[in-house]
Amino acid sequence: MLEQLAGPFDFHDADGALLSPSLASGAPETVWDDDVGLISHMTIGEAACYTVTQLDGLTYPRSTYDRARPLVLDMQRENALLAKAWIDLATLYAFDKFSGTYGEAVSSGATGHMLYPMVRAADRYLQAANSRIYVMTLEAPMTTAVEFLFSGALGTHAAISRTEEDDVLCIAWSDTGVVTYYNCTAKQEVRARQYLPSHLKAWYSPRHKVFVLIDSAKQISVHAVTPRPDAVSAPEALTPVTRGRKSILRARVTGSNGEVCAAERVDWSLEGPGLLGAAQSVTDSDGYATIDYYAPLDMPASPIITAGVTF
Amino acid sequence: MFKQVFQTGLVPYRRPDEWGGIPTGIGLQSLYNPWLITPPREYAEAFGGVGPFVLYSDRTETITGPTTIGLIAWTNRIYWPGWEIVHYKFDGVSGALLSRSAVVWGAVEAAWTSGVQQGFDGRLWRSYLTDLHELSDDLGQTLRVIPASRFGRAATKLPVPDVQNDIIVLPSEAVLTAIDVYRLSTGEHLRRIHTSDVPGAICPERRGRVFVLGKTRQLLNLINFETGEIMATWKCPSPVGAQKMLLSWDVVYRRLLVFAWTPDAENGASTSRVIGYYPLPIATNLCTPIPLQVPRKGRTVPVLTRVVGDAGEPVASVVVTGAASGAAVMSGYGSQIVTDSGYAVLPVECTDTGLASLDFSVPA
Repeated sequence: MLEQLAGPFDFHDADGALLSPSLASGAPETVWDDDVGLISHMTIGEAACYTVTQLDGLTYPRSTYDRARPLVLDMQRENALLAKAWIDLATLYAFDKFSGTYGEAVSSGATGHMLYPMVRAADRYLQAANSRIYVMTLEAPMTTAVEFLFSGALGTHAAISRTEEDDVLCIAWSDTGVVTYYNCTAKQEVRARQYLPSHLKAWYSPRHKVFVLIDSAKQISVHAVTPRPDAVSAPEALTPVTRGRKSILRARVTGSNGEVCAAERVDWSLEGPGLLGAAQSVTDSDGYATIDYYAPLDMPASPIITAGVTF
Repeated sequence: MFKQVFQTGLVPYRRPDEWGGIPTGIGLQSLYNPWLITPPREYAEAFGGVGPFVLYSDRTETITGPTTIGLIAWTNRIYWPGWEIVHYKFDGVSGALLSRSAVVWGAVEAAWTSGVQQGFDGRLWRSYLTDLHELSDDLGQTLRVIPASRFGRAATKLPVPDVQNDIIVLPSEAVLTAIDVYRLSTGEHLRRIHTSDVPGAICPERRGRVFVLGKTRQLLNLINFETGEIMATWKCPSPVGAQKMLLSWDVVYRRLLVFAWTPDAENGASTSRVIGYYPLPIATNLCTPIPLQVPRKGRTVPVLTRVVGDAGEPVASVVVTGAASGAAVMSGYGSQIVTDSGYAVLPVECTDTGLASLDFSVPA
């Protein structure tokens, strides 16, 4: 499980009043954007409006539109968003994320057939749902087809984010918390899967390299891209323990889903004869930490060496 | 929130003893609007009706500076006919009241005027009945009339004409949160630009650009209407209880002039004035420090914060300073200039296991 860095924070306005984001099923009007913050739609004061929320939940009105429109990632323009018309969900409009306003219509195709979350890629529309990637053509977006089926049951709803790579999307599946990465050029899953707690919505922030998550209590939290250590394996000897010789031992640190935990500090302890080369060592990229053990010539009892992680 | 750089004196109301006393006669000599002088009220006039309806600035020189600020308002008064359209002028440097004069519009004329606006050339225009009237300098004559039908509209409220470039900007009649841009001479509709808020005031900034102030949440857009781009979105400073806000751009001092009609004091004195701001947002909030990597003993982790204004817009070029206690200390200088996006990342060294307390601030 990816480690929580901060939060959970309540959504609140500048006066400290609690707010409730309108996170209906799929919450298509809510998107994390590194330039702006969390773009959402909720009631502040007496009326609903588009809002911008910082990572600590502080929320401001950004435009007064009382109807939420689903937002769509636009991969054809740098860090851009599109908005669907709220009546027929068909026409796509440019969306000015800084002012919370709509611009020119960019497509009038029947994209209402496609649910959310949705992406306009260079050559097609994509949607992630039901452990699948669905696609529609840009020219005649009438019917959807399955482009890719992820292994395992990942859930129904997901949120899609940009990553540092132009053609790789990050997909956070709400029901299971699984994070998958999809290369929309190669049309295949890439990178190792990661695991968040189950949530309402979560996005990857390529600028800050963290995940922004809204949980079922509608609170916002920030998670690292590294897993929280959950288990340390029993030390194993890489070289046999021999009287009067140095031997090398190692232990592996893993997360709750068996993920590799790199760069974690492992504390070593010894009961019995001999000497450890150090009290601590750091895990490598495979999650292994190694330690030297110096066995004495005289070993009246077997040494007991343990490894643990403290933080 | 902007930095305030200027203010005028309060718009002055006159007391009966400074004017014509308290009427005691009958007919035209009778007391109108007696509530104005019912204790604790003690002034013979007050903003009323549509209240102040245009704020403008022009290059009329005064003894102290190159600009004059004008405000025209509907007032109620205790004398016949019970109302008056008053034209106030303030010095653009000292903020002092320069003059106060009556606008010679008749009651019908005043009642059918639904808005007066300053165009790009500084001249005042008004929406009268449904049509657009260009006014003479003394406001007493109509120089020309442009019918609303030229633009395919029912009315021309809040018009911002640019005669030199043959453009007019009007709030959209089709969409609540939008402005429409037309060719002034032909009425051709050029483009529609959606705004963050329902337009309540519009004023020219420079060629091709207008400020649009919303009347719902006081969101302020700076819009390039030639390209359709919204260049900035802020929250306009607005006093508590403001009934109406007016906007003007001072081209000489490059400051945004805002007039807010605020409730009169208990004794009936005016509390309203024109305030000038530099349209650069000032910091109102600092995001709680967020570690971007997992804190561990012996590790230096980047900690993120963000400086924003009161519309959540990023505030750039301010310095964030950090302090740490408990299991961490600040690494490096402990301060950072924020980026254009308002973000600052300060390194924090984790010196021990356990809890650390971080306190980031923006020095005044």
